[in-house]
Amino acid sequence: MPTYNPSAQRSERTNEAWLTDLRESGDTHAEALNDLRAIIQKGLPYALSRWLPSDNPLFQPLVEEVTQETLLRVLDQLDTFEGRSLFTTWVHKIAIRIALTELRRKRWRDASLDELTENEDAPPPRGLLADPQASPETSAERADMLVRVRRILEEELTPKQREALVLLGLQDIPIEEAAKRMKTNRNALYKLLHDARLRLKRRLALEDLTAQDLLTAFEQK
Amino acid sequence: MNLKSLFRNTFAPQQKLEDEVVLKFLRVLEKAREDELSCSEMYARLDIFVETEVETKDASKIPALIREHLDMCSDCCEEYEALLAVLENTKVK
Repeated sequence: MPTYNPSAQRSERTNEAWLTDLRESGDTHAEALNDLRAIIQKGLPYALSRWLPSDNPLFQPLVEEVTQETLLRVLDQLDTFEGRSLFTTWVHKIAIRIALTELRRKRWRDASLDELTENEDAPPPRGLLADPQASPETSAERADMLVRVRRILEEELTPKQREALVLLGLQDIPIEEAAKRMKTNRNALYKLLHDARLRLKRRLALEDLTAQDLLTAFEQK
Repeated sequence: MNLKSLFRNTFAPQQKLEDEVVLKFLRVLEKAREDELSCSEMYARLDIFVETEVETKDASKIPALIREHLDMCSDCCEEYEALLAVLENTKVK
């Protein structure tokens, strides 16, 4: 079995050598940048394989764009590298963030990319209230429960939280893209949702309910 | 917030929450904890814990806080899986 040995990565440079060489000027800098470019481009096909196969005509332009942007960002953020991972792992992380951000943007803004992600489309959510297997009594119980939950949601959620829930709940849109549409950022939107979840959880506790109780009621046959 | 967005947020008709939205929200509610990581905190740790996971070949070593964020946030989870794929496939044979 192959073993993972950080000191024997493809690149011979240590973390310190990467930082030194990239901060140099002239040939040393150019050579380090070229090596880094190769490392990024070696990693991207694995990073993107779920979304964009490497034989897709859009793959190479995306890789070029992402590589360029990654190199710029790495040079810009060199001082923030803390050395707690391999330098190259840190660079792959940056490349992945840039690549997936771009793919999400394309996926949600450019309908022509839809065909590329057909197999990623989630099946439509189950319409639990319209379950043909449910007895009339169970359906009525579920309907009551849903009315109650909806009332609690209406009382507890802010308009922004509601908007986020609708965007993310109905469309399976990435958080990053939903954040752009709501003119905020991913971190702030995650926090908004986190606050919404905690608020709802506390309210359900006050009413002696748990999310599990409600789900069980919905899912009872 | 500018006046236009204030107006829009205050006076926009409330969207009806579809059953699917409510249920999807309920499904993640049980996992919600007070002390969750933010996406930025997650991103700051991503390279370190994915390296550890590849080295130890043991996903159970992932700290609970990180695991919970990955369960809640599909964007971070995608980035985690992508980095894992890169490290696993580019390690020295």
